[in-house]
Order: sequence, then structure tokens, then C-alpha cells
Amino acid sequence: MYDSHLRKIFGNQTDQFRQSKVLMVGAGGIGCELLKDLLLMNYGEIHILDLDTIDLSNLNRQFLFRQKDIKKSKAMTAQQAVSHFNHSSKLVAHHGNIMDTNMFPLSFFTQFDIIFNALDNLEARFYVNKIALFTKIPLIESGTSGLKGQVQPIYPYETECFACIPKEQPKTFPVCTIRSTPSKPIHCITWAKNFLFPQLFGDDVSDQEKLKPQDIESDNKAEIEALLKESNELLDLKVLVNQAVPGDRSFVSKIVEKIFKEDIERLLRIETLWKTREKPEPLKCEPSEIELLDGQELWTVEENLALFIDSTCKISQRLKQGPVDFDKDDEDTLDFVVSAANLRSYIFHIPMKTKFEIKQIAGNIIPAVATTNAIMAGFSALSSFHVFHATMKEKVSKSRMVYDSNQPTRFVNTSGLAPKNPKCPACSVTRGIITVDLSRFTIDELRKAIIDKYGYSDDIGIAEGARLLYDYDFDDNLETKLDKVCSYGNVLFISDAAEELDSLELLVDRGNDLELPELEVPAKMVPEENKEDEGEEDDLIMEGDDLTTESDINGLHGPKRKAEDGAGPVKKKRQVADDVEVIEL
Amino acid sequence: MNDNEVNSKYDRQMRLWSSAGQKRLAGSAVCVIEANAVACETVKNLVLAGVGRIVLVDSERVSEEDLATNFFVVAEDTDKLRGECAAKHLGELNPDSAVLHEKTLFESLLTDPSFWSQFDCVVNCRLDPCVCLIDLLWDLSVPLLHVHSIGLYSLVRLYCEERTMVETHSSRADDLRIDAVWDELQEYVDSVDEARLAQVPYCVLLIKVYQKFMREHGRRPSTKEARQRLAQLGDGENVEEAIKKAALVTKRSSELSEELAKLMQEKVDLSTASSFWILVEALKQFYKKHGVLPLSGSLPDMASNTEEYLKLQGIYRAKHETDKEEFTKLALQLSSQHNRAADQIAQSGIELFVKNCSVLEVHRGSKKVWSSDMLSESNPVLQNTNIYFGFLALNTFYKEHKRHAAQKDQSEVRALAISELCRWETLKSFPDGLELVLDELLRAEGTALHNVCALTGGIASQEIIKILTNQYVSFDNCLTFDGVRGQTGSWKIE
Repeated sequence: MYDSHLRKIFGNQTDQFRQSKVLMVGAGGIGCELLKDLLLMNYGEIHILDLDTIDLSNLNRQFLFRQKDIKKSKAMTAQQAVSHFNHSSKLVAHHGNIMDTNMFPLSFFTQFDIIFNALDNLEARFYVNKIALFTKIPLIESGTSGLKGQVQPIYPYETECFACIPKEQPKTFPVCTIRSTPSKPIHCITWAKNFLFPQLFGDDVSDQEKLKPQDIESDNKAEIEALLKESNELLDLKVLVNQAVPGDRSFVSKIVEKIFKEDIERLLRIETLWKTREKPEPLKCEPSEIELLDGQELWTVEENLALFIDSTCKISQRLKQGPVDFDKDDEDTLDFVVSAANLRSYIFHIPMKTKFEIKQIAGNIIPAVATTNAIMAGFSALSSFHVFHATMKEKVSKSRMVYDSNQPTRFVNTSGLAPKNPKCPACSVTRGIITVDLSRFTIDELRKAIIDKYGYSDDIGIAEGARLLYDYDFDDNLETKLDKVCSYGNVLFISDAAEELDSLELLVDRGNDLELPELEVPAKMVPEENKEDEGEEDDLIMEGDDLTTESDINGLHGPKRKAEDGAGPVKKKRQVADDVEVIEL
Repeated sequence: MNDNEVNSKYDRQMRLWSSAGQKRLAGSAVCVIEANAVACETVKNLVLAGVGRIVLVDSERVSEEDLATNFFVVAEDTDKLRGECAAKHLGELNPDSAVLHEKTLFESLLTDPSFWSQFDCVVNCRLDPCVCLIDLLWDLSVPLLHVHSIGLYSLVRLYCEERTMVETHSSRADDLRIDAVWDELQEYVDSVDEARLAQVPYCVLLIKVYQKFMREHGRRPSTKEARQRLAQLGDGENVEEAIKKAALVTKRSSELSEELAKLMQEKVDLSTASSFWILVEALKQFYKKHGVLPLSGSLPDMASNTEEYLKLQGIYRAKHETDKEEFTKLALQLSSQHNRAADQIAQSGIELFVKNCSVLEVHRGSKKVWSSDMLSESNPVLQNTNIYFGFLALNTFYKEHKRHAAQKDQSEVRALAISELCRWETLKSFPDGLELVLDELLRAEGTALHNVCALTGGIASQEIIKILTNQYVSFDNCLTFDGVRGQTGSWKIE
């Protein structure tokens, strides 16, 4: 409609925008901005996909949402919010999980010319990256964390993909540290959120989640026994929670008595634990009267206890209406975790923390602000016009990767796109799409077809995810029809029993027959011995202790690249997200 | 909204600038001149962040171009007052923020300093940098941002006489004073015998290794030497951490960063300068006396027995308190020596200052719209400087013809550029790449591109927030965005 101004700058490319269909995954901080930018680039059809609903804490940046929209679908609300604006793009909103293969099978993705990622978690990012690899659709990846951000255009197999540079894995802690010998606030927060909360308020603990002796990385027999006993008694407490009567708070005293006194006394009896550690002290105090507590201030132990009782009662009553999960934006559950963590810290002589601080740790909160999202979304939308160059060479050479800069002469850094990493677990793998009617073929038929097609010399192994479907030691399933063991959207891993050819990934798509993709499976690479990373940096730059500090993961793995205009080599940061998980609790 | 709701709504950004920063934003007033796309994109981010009051100075009416580039006017607004429509749509984004329209002509407002002095920051989104406005605001000490965008290019320029930044949020190596141990710390380190070595924070191990090496060799250990000795202490988690952080033994506690050393040498008139400079003078005296800065007192998390960690933390905190007390005395003395009211130096200000005293920054601005030394061949961001210059040439054309230059005006714009350049005598030839930049600008004929406006608005608003909260380090002082190459570049106009 209003494309005369676009034509001045983009010329005939303007028509190509008009004729293109794009997918935007995520309608959060970057997504809201990006949707506006894509609309004003006049894209023909824009699909908005998000599984989330709107929360109060989104409103400081997700400008398409208002107070009245809280709890509504992000994708739907975003679509409605821009409808008043004069655009001629067709908009389609999807409220759902991108990884749901029933809702979004492969055929859903193949309709798009470009995919924009505006996601907040690594899992979904890796998933879309993989889809882009299977479909070869250009993917523009973006993320922000506080005042920093990043945009990475990905041309599958031509340039570095999202998995080419290893991402930092979330931190985990040994069970004993959490359950019997905490020494840092984070240990107590993890205990409150991931152990106590689900024990008291979670659905019935299935056998899988029950603590088994082998899970406890301890050779202290007494400790293992104590922990197991503690677990069983917790089940009794859960019964109390479920039977709680409104107004009656006495059941909470029993909970307090057990978890903050008896359990501690039991641990104290295991003297070997306390030879080199300071002994914890069972809680001896009474709750104080509380009114409104300031989340920025440190509370007293009495205040924490009062809040613990209060939040436990509230959550117990809510359970009658349905399950309650921990959510950083759910005040009751947050209050519970804050007070329980602080009480435990107090017992173990660990400094207590404010609610504000605990919320950040327990909620894996990454700071987020409108300004950075606006900058990165702008870069993301702008990089899409390079997709329309005639040749791949041009697309790749003109595209730029954007990341935050520490140099005063650059507000952000940009660099050319790096080539793919030959050792990348995602894009160095040979892959293709198999179209098949799963109900018609058996595993054996599939096996034979694959061996014939790609010239495996002997036999192959077939697996779906971690599940083995067939190998020469496990042939029970050979006559099983494929639909009994896998479904459309699954990825099959094919490995060569003779270890001559490289492994192969096949994405299962719905078809009438069995058709294998035309592929050349290369010979298996002999893995190099991993050299020990020698000599840590001798300079004085220390990693931060702040949980939100991004750590440099380029290290020795990723390709080094130079910033433009001779700005010198730059260290590439971990890809970050609007709300990406930093630690797993 | 009560405090709790405010906290939840702004939670994600308060983790960047804390509740103090958020309060400052809520109490701030910003004036934005011209309600075009780049202005509205800037304002949008300020409204979302919770800036208290924003005034749009604009007397235009909504045109078709506005509809094509500006998300905050809609078709029904056509021919209505643009500032009023934009203020309404932007105001809806956040009830905590008042967005108002001022329809008085900008030119008439220029004669009224009282209008401008009510603002904490002014943003000029016109093509014209407007020298009168620069002079006026400079005298009023109101920071001014010039922001504009044409086609794939944009510029952001800050005019501000002096910015003194305390809460810079700069990351730096922890100040553990391995080589400058004081009595209480020494006593504690000595009390740690072999049996307790496995339980203490790595910092104690580093001090022990450092001191023993000094005694034996009469010099500091290198990182490698420290690592070798640390490796003999066992294989505990604290030893591992110590080995990782071994480079700290080479850090000289007495050494000042280059910026800070420079800052301490500045000559200012202490009877009139801001209280920041009194504190800098006190810092200078403290440093002269002790050879080190006051201790910031924060101890990073370290693997350790909790009790030992708390003991050590207590020792660092106590030292911080003693240093701060001495520093406060110095500051108060200086204050009275220069006949200043004692209440100018707030306790909370001193605490922040001492915590950040090793990462202070000062920027001194310039009123100059342009300076010739930036067009030299050695300029690392020449292409970006060319863009800035292109905007100035277009402005000269616009002032003469009262319309935007187009492709047909190529020769005239080039001639204008040459004559402009000749005013800066040092220049010998047309800078590389300037012609291409001019052509690209002419192609756009003054039209803005929404994407570039959104991105530029993001950059501008981020800088405005830094100014309003007085946190983080701002850019200094000129930046352009080059959408052809997807590159930003910033440099300082002296």
C-alpha cells in the first residue's frame, strides 16, 4: 500500500517482500518489535507463533500488550494489536509450541521464505535451527540480555548455524550439597524450588522422581539413609497439605517442625558430615506479625517464617482448584521459595537474600529492556533484505552478524558470516527428509531400503532420539510396523555398523509410499584426540560472579573472526536470549 | 499501582539500574522536537521504560509519508496535528508516563529559556542540528541529543558539557589486595594453619603463596609460578579456584587505570564545580596518603566453608567502612575549605562513590557540530563520519531550497559539500567514499525507513536512559548507523 517510499530505497526488491511469506517464532520482547518492523517492510504474509501468555512483567518492553491483555495469548494479542495499523500484510497467529509436531509438521515450515527466531530459550532455538537445516530455509536468529544482544543470519550449510559454536550448559549441583550440606544461597534456593516445592505441592511423586540410593553421590551410608527417611516422611506431610482446611494453620507448624528442626537434627547426628563444616542449628523462633514486606529489603528470620506459614496456607488452598507450579511471577509460590530458602540459609549460617535477588536466581531471570530489543529487532528485519539477492554468494557476503561491543568506537560490532564449523553436531551431519506412510512399512523394509540406497556395506543401526529401534544385537522389532515405534516429525538416526560411512539423520514426513532423499553419505571421519585445553588466560579479566554475566564460550572451539574496519579480533559471546536459562535449578 | 506492582512491571529492567534508577526515570521530563518516525520510536522506548513526562514539540500535520514510516499514527489521523496524534498513541503504551503535545512553533520556543529548563534531556529529531538550540541548552546545562534518519543512514549526537559517571557498571578484576594486606587481614591469614587450608576462600591461598614467594625471592611471583605453588596445596575446590584466579597475584593494588589517573589530574575550581569533583579531590588525597584507593569492600563468591567466608567478608567490609569513614572526613573538610554547604555531600553518594571509585568516568563534550580532523585517512570510522557529513550537506541544501535534495540535485549537493569542506582548511581532497554516501542519501530524498528509525530510536533511547538514570557509560559523542553495511561507528567531536 504505502510502498512508494520503500521503492526509493529497495527498488524492485520491494515486490519480493510483498510476495514473501515469513514466520516469526516468538512474540515477546524482540517479537513485538520485529512484527512492527516486518509489517512496515511490507512482507506479504507474516505468521506469528508463540506458546506463551502475557504477564505484567512483559509490559516494560512488549509494547503491543496492555494491562488488560494479561493472561491472553501473546500471538493472538499481537496480531490484534497491529490490526488497526494500515498495512496490507496478511497476518496469521498460532498459539502453540513450535516443537509440537502435530500442530507444526514439516509441511508447515516449508511454506515460508524466511524464519525469524525471536525466542527466549535454547531448546526451541536448537529445534528451529534443525528445522532450518532440514528445509534449507534461511533463519535469522536474535537474542538480547540486558543492554547486550545479537543477531545471526543463518544460511543452512553455507554459513555457521546456531549449533556450530557450543553453548554453555546450565549449572547443576550434587544432590548431597542440596539436600544435606548447602554452603551457598543458591543451594538453599535450589532446595526450596526444586525439592521442597514439588514434594509438598507437586502431583504425586512418581517412582521415577523418587530419590534412589544410587542418585546420591555419597559414600556416607548414614547420610543416604537419613535422606531416604526424610523423603518418606515428606510424603506424610503432603497428605497434610492435601487435607488442609481453610483457616486452620496448625498443619504448617508440623511442616516447620519437620523440615526446619527434625530433619536438621537427623543430619546433625551424622557426625562425619560436620568434621570440616560448621554445624547447622535447628530453627528456634516464632513467626512475627507481618504486613507488607519490601522485596528489596532483607527480612528477618521471624518475618521469613511468618511468610513461609502464610504462603504454604495459600498454596494449599489453591491446590483444591488445581495444580500449582512454581512460577517466578506467581507471588505465593515465589514467597514460599524465598522464605523456605532463607530459613534454610539461616539454619546453615549462610547469608540470606532479598526477594528481589532470589527471584532472579530462582526464575532464571535475564534483564530485559525495550531499547536493546528495538536495536536487535531492527538489525534482524534489516538483515532479511539480503535473502533476496540473486546468488547465494551475494546473500552470504552481504549479510552481517551483529553482536554487542566492548569497544568505545562501536555501539555494536558486526562481522561477516562465518563458514560452518566442520565439527558442528548439527550441520556437519548428512540429513534429509524421508516421506513415508508409517503404517505400511516395517522396520526391516526401511532398513533394507536405506542400505540399498546409500550403499552401506553391512548392516545399520536405527534410533529415534535416545531410543534404539534396531541394530544387529537388537532385532526384536524387525517385523514391527513403523507407526508402532515412531511418528511423523521424528528424526531417525542411522549409523553404519561397519563404521565406514558417516551417520545420517532422516526426518520422517507423511507420504504414501517410502521415498528416501537423494544424498551422498560421506565416509566417517576419524575423531581427533581431544587436546587438553592448556594454559588459562594470564590476564586479569575474571569471569563475573553475577549469574547473568555472559561467559565467553568461544574459547578454543569456535572459529575466530575479525570485526570489520580492523577493529581487531573479537570474542564471540554465547547466544543470549530475552529470558534464556542460565542455570538449571 | 502500589510499589509491588511497579516492581513487577519494571522488574526486568530494574535488574539493570535498580529501584533508584527506576525512580529517577519516573521523575524525569524529556522534550522531543518533531514527531517523526525516529522520534516516535525513541519515545516509545522511553514510555515503556517509565519516564515520567515526555513533551512532543511538533506543528506538522499527518502526511502519507508518516503513515508509511511511523507506527504511531494511523490512517484516520491524516491531516490532523501529528504531535497530538502521536502523543495520544504513545501515551496509551504506559499509564505511568504522560506524553504531551506542545504545538507552539519550535522557532518561537527558542526565545523562551524557561520552557527548556524544565527538562532533564532534550532530543532534536530534525535534520537541522540547530546551533541556537545547542547554545541555549549548553548554557542551561541540559543534555541535548540530535537524532535523525534518512534512508539506510542515521545519526545520533550528544551535546553535553560534562558528564560525571559514578555507577558505570564496568566489569573489572576484583580488588582483593593480595599485595597490600592490612593488619586485620594479615592476622586472619596467619591464623589459618595447614589443617584449615582446605576450608578457606581462595583469596587466602593467593595471599599465602604471594607472601611466601616474596620472602624467598624478593619479587612477585608470575601467574605461572603462583599456579605451580598453588597446585601443591591439594586438590580442593578452593585450590582449583585459586589456580583459575592466579593472575591476581600480578595485579598491583596501587596501580590506577589510565582513565582514573587522567581524571585525578584534571584541574577544576572546587568552589564552583559539582560535588563529584570534591569527591575526586578527596580520592586524590586518600590515594596520596595510602598509595591505594579506598577499598570497595565487595568480596566475590568463593568456594569455602561458610564460616570462614563470612569471617573474611567481615574483614573486607570492616576495612571498607574504615576507608569510607576517612574518605568522608576528607570530603567534608574539602567541602568546608571551599565554602560549600556540607549537605551537598550525601552519605549515600559517598557510599556509591567509594564502591565505584576505581571505575569512575568523565566525558567532556563539545558544542561544535563538526570538526575537520575527523575526515582524515587514518580515521578508523571514516565511512561513518562521511555519513554524518552527508547529513550536514543535506541540511545546507534544505535550508537553501526548503525541500529535500533528490538525485537530480547530485551536482549541487556535491558542490555544496565541497564548499562546506573548504571551510575546514586542513582538508586537501574529497574524502574516500563520501560521494557514494551522498548518492545513497539523495536516492532516499529525505524519506525515512521505518526499520532504521526503530533501530536508531533504540540506540537513542538507550543513551537517554543512561543520562536520566546517570548509570552506565554513554557513547562519546557522535554515532552514525550505516544500513548499507549494517555497521555503527562512533567517534568524538572535540
